[in-house]
Amino acid sequence: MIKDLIITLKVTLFTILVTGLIYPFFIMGASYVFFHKKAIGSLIFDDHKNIIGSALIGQNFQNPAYFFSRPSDAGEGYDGTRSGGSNLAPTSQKLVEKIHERIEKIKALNRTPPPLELVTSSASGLDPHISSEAAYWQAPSIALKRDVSLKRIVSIIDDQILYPQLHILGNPRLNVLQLNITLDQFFGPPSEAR
Amino acid sequence: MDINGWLQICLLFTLLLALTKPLGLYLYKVYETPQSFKILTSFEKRLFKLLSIEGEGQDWKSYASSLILFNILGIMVLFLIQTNQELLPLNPQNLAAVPWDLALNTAVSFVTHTNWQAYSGETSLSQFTQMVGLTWQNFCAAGTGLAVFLALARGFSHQSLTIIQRGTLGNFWVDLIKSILYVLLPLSVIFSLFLVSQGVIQNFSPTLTFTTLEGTQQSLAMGPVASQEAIKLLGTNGGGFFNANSAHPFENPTPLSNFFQMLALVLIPAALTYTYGKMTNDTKQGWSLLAAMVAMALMGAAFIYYYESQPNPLLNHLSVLQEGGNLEGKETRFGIAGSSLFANLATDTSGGSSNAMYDSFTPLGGMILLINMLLGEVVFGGVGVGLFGMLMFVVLSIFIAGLMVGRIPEYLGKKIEGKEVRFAVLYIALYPFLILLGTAWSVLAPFGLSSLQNPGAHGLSEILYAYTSAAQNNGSAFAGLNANTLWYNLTLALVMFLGRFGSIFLGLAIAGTMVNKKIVQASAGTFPSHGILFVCLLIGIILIVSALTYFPVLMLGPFTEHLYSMQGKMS
Repeated sequence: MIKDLIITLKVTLFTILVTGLIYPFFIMGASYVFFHKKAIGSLIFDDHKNIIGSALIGQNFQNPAYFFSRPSDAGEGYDGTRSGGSNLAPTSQKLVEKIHERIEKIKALNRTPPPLELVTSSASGLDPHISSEAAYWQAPSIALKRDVSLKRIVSIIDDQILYPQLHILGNPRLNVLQLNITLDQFFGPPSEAR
Repeated sequence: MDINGWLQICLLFTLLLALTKPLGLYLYKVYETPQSFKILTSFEKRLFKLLSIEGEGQDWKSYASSLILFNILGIMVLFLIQTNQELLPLNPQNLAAVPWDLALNTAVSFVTHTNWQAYSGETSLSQFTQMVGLTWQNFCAAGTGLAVFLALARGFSHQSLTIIQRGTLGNFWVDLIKSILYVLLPLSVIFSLFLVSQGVIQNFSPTLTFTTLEGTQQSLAMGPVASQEAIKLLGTNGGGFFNANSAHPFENPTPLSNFFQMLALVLIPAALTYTYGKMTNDTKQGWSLLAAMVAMALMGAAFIYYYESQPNPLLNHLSVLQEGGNLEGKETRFGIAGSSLFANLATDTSGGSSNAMYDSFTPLGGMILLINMLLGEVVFGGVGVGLFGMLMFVVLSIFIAGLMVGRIPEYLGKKIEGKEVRFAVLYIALYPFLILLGTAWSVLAPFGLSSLQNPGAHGLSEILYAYTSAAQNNGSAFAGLNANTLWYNLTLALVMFLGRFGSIFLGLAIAGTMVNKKIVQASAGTFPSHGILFVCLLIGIILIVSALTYFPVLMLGPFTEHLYSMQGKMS
């Protein structure tokens, strides 16, 4: 029994050392060498080298001159320290009411009904993407707010579509932050609260 | 549903079948013919000497006691790390110590391979706790799973030749260390680097706060995610770094990373079937078990994909396009197909990670997830323990087939007698006992009901899901249930502990009696444990056993909810 205890203690220490310390630090070292930008969070910088976001994490766009992301249940919305979804059952009254409210809020932007994803929150609450349908649906109102032709907005969307990887993985989608950065590059930052 | 979704499912299983043999063969060589890796044997000798491991064969009782001892110490160390994390390094957010009940629950959860998460990763655990505590136990729990599988497989396949060898199942410490060093660690290194290449983070920065494009503040939690993510999936553990688990873009950034995360979940459990075939000197045994697993996994995937693609009848009166299916709680980049298949494989295996919120699944889609777990985590199941559980069902199937033709049943040439069948039945009865008792008690008690987020039939599903996930050591959740209460923390910890070590104890007991039996030649009257007939029988028995046990509660929970929603009633 005492022999067994000694082995247990030694194996515990050994496994902590190998899998809890050496392994993660080794992976960090190797990732910093080979994929430094990704290992620190795929950050996006502006012209003054200030961080303005991560290419992987969605942002809570409120200004009507920007494409907006999906609703979020992470903290107050797109809080990267409190990821999570609503966890409401599809049969719950709360969810149906929430969806109804969100539809009411955005239905003035386009006469056709919005795609469901624009009124439902994602699993992480940090979803950086919207589908191409959702982007086209928002295009007319963006064109109006930016005072440019619908055609230009649609062609920007066309350029930015991320197609399924290996042709079959995932659906055609757009990164909302990238899309809005591109809008600013073409038309300048929006003036405050239109 | 679209063609891409189905193609994704097909591609995954094709790739899995292609990898089964090479990896399975590697595992066989690592464990059963160590002389094939000459360079390693001298290193091994020195390491084992350092750790005082002599490597002598253990009978089932001393194998089990080494295993329990190691795991109990694991629980204690993990508990102490969490309750003292404010004194330990790598805590850039200065998070406080974890409360004792939550710490106990989490410690038991990670040691028992469940990885039930009553805490929220980014707000309650320091990077040190996540890395040294949780990542470490991810390896140890998976290694323990591999070890018990090896012991049982040896019990069935080995023939004791000498008095000294009599009754021995191998050495737990040797099996554990080999599993970690030669199997889990190398695969995890490769997989973590792949994940980082897709965008998974790996750093020790404090939370990053910056001004967004629009001028508001955003904060992003950081940490050593990739190293934990890799073993979380390869070891079918499931404890994510962040609260949102594999839905968080820093854990699972692209559809491609999602695809390989799914593959990682089933990779080792599938390969072990081939290893088992090699150990029993008859690869048909392994392929037959794999066939049963794949058939059930495909069924589950198809059902979930179908139900999640359906529009929600309760939204029909609203002006919204529902072609996309049930998108609440799902990520755009994975779509319905990527989320459904992931959910199916995470509940088939005891992985229990999630890239979507299972609580927001359609009633019947969510029911399939429950059923996947209720089958006993034998469709792939956990690393090692999945096949371990499957072999219990094999024993039962052989026994029932024996009853039908009136012969003493035998498996791989060894007679299956009263003792083994009794242990196997106890093994199978253990889970309903834990699950239904826990659920019933929680439903009747005010402190059980006060944690519910969703009322009505779905509330029952939430509680049932929690106890199922705990007993079967899966770890996924209908996360609307607030499980961080004294009642749930303690009862779920107990259920996880009994579900894990009770089943291992019974399985090892069978291994202990089987290993001493003589192997007799198969005769014309022997019921073959391979081939289509056997696979169908096995699937039938698994489905019937769980259907008979859980049918009533599934009717009251998910099925009632489905009927309500069809009638346009909300809860």
